Amino acid sequence: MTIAPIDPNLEPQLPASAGDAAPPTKGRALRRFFGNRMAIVGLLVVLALVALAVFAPQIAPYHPNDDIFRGMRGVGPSWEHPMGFDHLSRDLLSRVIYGTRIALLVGLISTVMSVLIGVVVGAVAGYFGGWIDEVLSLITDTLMAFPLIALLIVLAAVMGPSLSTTIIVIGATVWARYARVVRAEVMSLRERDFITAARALGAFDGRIIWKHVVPNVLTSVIVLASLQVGSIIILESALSFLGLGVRPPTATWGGILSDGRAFILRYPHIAIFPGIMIVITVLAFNFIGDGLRDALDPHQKTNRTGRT
Amino acid sequence: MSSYLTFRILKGLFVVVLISVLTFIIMRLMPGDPVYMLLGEGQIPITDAQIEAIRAKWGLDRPLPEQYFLWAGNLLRGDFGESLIRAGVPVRKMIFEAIPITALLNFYALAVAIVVAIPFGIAAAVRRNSWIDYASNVVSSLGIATPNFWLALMLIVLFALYVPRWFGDLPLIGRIPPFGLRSWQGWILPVIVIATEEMAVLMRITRGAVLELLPQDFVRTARSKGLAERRVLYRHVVSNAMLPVVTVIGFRIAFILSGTIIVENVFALPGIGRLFVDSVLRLDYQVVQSLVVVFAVLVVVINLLTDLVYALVDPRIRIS
Repeated sequence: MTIAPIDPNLEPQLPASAGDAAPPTKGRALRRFFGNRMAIVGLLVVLALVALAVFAPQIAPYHPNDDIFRGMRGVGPSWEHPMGFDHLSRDLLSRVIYGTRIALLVGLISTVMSVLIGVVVGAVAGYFGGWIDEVLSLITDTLMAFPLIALLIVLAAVMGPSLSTTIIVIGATVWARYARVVRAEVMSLRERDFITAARALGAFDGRIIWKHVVPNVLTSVIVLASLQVGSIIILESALSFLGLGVRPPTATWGGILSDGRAFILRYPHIAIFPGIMIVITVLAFNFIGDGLRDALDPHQKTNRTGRT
Repeated sequence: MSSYLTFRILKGLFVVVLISVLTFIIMRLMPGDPVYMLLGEGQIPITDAQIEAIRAKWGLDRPLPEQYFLWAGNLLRGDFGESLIRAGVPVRKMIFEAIPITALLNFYALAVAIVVAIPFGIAAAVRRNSWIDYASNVVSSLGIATPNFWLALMLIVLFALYVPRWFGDLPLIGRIPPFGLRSWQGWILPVIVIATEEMAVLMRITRGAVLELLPQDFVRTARSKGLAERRVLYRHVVSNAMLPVVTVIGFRIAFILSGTIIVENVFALPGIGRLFVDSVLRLDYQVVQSLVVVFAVLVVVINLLTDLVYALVDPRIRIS
């Protein structure tokens, strides 16, 4: 199939391959990344969010679930309670701070999981070719033909909503993009001399893939992954919003938004702040992703084109 | 060409069959039993005999492979079966009642998004690093980072709660309801929400596509043979830049369900997305399975069409 120079499936156009255009050295890429103001802002914001998540018990003024303020049901923001109270008279600021934990946990673990699956599937398919490639590509295509959120809803309903369900379900479904990108790159790498040399030296396939193929595709994968963390955080909050994510009373941004939706006309302030946190977090990760892409891929081929 | 087409169609069919099998299996793995869902657990005393009778009526007592082939066979004949939960209502009827709402919603939203995004995307690329470039960048970055359900909630708070409180009825528009489609004003907020997301993506794609074309040789040639800048832009750059833009639009149409599931649930719109979530939560196997297959077919067909359109429009691509 020689078709579509611009992939119809919105696949980010990744650098043709590491190697043929002298990839930037580590030092230069780092300098370029740190020269990018937006990327620095993104990095600082993410560091702040990580601190917020790790030290939530110290930072949050109250307990997210147990501190119930009698008679304060749905009361709006004040100096002592900058985000006000929710419909169960809990301090919203504390709940939003604790929500950072879930967002980052799901965002990072699901990303790592999907990268692992995607790289393995893509590398194996691209390296071996033949019927292995056909089968794996068919699985990848099938996965990409599912509307993702619909699949997530069904799977979350099947497994029963919980934190681990959310992480597993997202991680197990968003890997298809990595598989496609890695497969395409590995197919072009496979014919290179250094792979042939390794094979001639008698290296096992597994070793060749791990030692020679995977490191060469990591650049693209890192860029893609950093751009995907944000959309995974949105997916997580969407699941919680529909009641299929992490269960209440655990504080999650999507869960608070779902409370906010239920009381949107009576207590409109509930829905405001968790949404702002989501936007800030997703923007920060996207800025980092853009910065990494510009630093690692000077040809500017990777386009961020939207959410999954 | 024709062998390529056959290959692609066969592959597409295979993907659809695989998806239908997977959905069938996944739905049976769901905890709970649709029979109890229908009868309401523990509310009415029911005998085992009654339960068995309902099972037999729905064919749930037969072995799973048989159930699958029965369902798939009917589907091929265009018979979607009956809803398990809304007993007796044909699934086809439920889907056909919901489709116009989802389709119209997305049609309006996409129209708004195209009208706004393409001119701004072109302007941002042509006047790179101007205020219009920065503004469109901010808008599209924010649009991509904002969850559509939160935007929906904020618009409800603003336009259905505070605007009437502060300003009373708006001229021409009147009052915007927070939920539902009882009046035409009900369409306004959902269309804005979906359009924002589409706009953010389209603007970025348009800008990128135009930027990639501007430094190319044929553009320089067009300029150097004395064509007016405006003509170069429209005839040579924009017309070529539309190719990736059209692809993205096709892709968004194929994945219409992803975009509307949550928005329809926030605004309580009786479209496909709402039907889907309700059916999953109520274990309505028939409806969920049919919807998934319908959308899988849509995705496969649109993917195939985009590839073909590409080959037709761009003579450099040869299909083999």
